[in-house]
Amino acid sequence: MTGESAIELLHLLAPVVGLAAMAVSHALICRLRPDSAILNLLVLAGFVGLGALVAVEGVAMVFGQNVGGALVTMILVDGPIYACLAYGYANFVNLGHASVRIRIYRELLESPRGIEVGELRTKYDEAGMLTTRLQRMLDAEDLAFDGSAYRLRKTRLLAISNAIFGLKKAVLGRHSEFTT
Amino acid sequence: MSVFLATTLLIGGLFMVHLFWWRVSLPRRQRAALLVLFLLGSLVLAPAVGFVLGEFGVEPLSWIQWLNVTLAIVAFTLAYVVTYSALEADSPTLSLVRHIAAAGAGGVGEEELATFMASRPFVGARLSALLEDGMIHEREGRIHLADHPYTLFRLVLLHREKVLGLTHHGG
Repeated sequence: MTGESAIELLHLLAPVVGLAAMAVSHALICRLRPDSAILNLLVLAGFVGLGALVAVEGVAMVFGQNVGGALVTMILVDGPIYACLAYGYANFVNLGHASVRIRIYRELLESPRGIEVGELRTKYDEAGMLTTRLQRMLDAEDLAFDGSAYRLRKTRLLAISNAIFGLKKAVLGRHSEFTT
Repeated sequence: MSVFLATTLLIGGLFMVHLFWWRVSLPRRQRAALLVLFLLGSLVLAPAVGFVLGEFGVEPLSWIQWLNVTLAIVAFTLAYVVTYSALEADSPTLSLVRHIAAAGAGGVGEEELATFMASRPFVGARLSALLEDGMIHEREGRIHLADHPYTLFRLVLLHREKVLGLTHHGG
C-alpha cells in the first residue's frame, strides 16, 4: 500500500474510530456515573470521540500528509462525518431515554395481556410528561426555576429547537404537527 | 477535496429532489422513502458526479475515496432520518423550550406550562402513530403489541439496559 493510499484509508477510518471511542467511553461513563444528566454524559463522550478522530488525523501526518492537508480534510470531510455519526448515536441513546413511543413499546412488551387504553393514557398523560421533562431540564441546568416561573438558562436546546422547527417549515411547510 | 466536492454535490442534489418530492406529494412511509432516496439515489448519481468533477479538472477519486464518499452519505442519511422523526412529530421537550424562550425574561409559570402541554396531545398523537404504523393494535379496549417484533425499538432498549446499564425509565 502506498503512502497516499494509507492516508486515504486513515481518513476513511477516522470518523468510525471516533464513533467507536464515543460509544465505548459513553458506556463506561454511564456505568461510573449512572445518576448524571444523560445529555452531559453524551457531550463528554462526544469530546472523547473527537479526540480519537484528531489522533487518527495525527497518524495520517506520520504517513507523510502535511498539516494543512490533514486539517482541511478534518474540517471538510472527517469532522462532518463524525458529527453525523455522533449525532446519530446520541439520538439512538436519547430515543431509549425520552421517546414516548419506545416507553409505550416497553410497557406492552412487559404486558402480554395488553394494557387498557385508559390506563396507558393515564400513565403517559401530558401533565406527567411535563413534570419529568421540566425536572430533566432543571437537572441539566437548561432551565432555572425561582419558585414561580421557569426561565431558559442555557440556549443549547433552543438552538436545536430553532433548527428543527426551521427545517420542519422548509420540508413540510408547517412549524408544528398541532398547527396548520 | 475531491471527496468533499463529490459528497456535497450528491447530498445537495438529492436534498433538492427530496424537497421537491415532499412538497409535491408526501410519501406514505416517509422515513423509508428518505432512506431509499439518499442511499439508492447516491448510487445512481455517483457516475454522473464523477463525470462532472472530471469535466471541471478534478482528479478522479480512488476506490478508497469513493468508500469515504459512501460513508459520508450513509452518515448524513442516518443523521437526517433521525432528525426527520422530530419533523414528523413535535418533540415535547423542544416545544417546551421554545414556549419558555418565547416568554423572555419574565419566564413561564407552572399553570401556563400545563395549559400549553394540554393544548398539544403528544401522547394521543404517538399512540395514533403506533396504531397507523401497525406496531400496536387495539382489541376489546386493550392495546396489544403487533405480532412481529420491532427490531429498532428492541435494539434501543437492549443497548440502554445491557450496554449502558440504565434500568430506570426516562420521561
